[in-house]
Amino acid sequence: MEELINQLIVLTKQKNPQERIDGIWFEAPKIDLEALAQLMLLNQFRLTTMTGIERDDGETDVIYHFNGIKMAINIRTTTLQQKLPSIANILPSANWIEREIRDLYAVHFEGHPDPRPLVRPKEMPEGFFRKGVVESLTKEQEAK
Amino acid sequence: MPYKLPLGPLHPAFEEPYKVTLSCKGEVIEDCQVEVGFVMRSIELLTQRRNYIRDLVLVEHVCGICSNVHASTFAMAVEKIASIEVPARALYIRTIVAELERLHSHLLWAGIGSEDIGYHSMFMEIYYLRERVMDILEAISGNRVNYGMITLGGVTRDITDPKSILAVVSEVHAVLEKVVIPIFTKDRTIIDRTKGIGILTRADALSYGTVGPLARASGVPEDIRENFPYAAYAELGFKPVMLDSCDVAARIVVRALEMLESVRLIEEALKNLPAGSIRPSEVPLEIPKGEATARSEAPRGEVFYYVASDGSDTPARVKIRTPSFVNIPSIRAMVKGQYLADLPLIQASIDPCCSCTDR
Repeated sequence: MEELINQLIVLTKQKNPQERIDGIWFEAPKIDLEALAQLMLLNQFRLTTMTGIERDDGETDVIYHFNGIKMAINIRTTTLQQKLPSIANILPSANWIEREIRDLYAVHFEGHPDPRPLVRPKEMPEGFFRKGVVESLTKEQEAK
Repeated sequence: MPYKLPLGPLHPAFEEPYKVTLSCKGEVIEDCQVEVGFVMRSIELLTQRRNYIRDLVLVEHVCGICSNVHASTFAMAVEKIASIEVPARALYIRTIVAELERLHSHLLWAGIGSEDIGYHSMFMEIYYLRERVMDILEAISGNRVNYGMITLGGVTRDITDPKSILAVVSEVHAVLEKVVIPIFTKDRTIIDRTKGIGILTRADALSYGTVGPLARASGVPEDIRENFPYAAYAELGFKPVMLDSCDVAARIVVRALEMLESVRLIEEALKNLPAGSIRPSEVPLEIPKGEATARSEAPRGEVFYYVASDGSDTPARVKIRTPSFVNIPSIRAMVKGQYLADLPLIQASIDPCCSCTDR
């Protein structure tokens, strides 16, 4: 497992990952996500899920949560102009997760094989969990 | 020429609304497309507007069957951020309620599965047994569905009479051993209907990231109780159930054998229930700044929570990943080349929960 950590250190360019009670945490604002997906697949790690978190500067933080047998790895990255490369072609389990984050936080995953909405109803705009969108939707509702 | 057959969102074969669009050639399914999102309630967004105590009530309503596991996983994540220590007695009670919940959920599934197979007398037998488990849960918590047992740092109600619970549990144990397991493993009606259908290979199970009994029936050793022990599982000892025949029959047997292990865990926990308090005397309403993840094994597989706190009494972000969210897409891998008539049983074999998936 140490080898995997060393490879991740090279990939994330972060020398001291945090070891916490719930696994190892990496911060990597810029990371080659496709190489990360390949590496985790090779080591038989499972993509648990991805968490989208809205930032104040209009971008979104995305945390990739992986887990293997008795080991959890969390990698936090940030979108660039609300865009990230898709890993759904490498890990099929990312397919629905990326579609959901696009619906809720308007992050576009480039190269996604099937970018239809997953949970978003037709009448809702993309990114309906973002503060700005929630506020304008609430105002619209109140005006009615 | 293949034709398209839409099933759902509302269909007698489904327990909850979701849509499967099949592409068939004659009686054989060539491909399918699964759509969800018909019962989305935006629970993640709502949790970010309530305080932590009210959130415990809200996340319990994510699922109507595995309600307790959501509250306990949310509490686990918050306890990690705030470094709240949970008393040993509370950990044991959490384990007992979690295993009772697994028992009633697996029995519910076994009943629905039997009905899909066309074995109605088995359905009746199993639902009677499930009522007995619900009686225990009602005796412990006062509720049948949303138990309200979990609070930050412990549990809300104590188990005062372990003997009466043990008596009902051993009654359930006897019926499981004498009726349910022999019928599910040896009866011709069940075997002929389930053997060799709905194959999910080990490679597919891994690439779709499936969890829970579905993954364990495909030979993937995926059990949070063993890999990331929480509550009292490390102390009670735990034997995972795993099969590698990858079909619907394997999923039935994995769940049936897991019920026996649940009964053993409940009995063991009740007999060794530690003395002491069930929750700390004081729990902070404001949680310090930080983030944490928590995992638990729900009846259908791994439940994952990510909670971020900004130092106030309201979480900054709550992310919920339910087991059905990763299990439902794998239907596509299971139905290729199968008969149309087997679809209701194949989709039921993963025990899909759409309220969980959509949140």
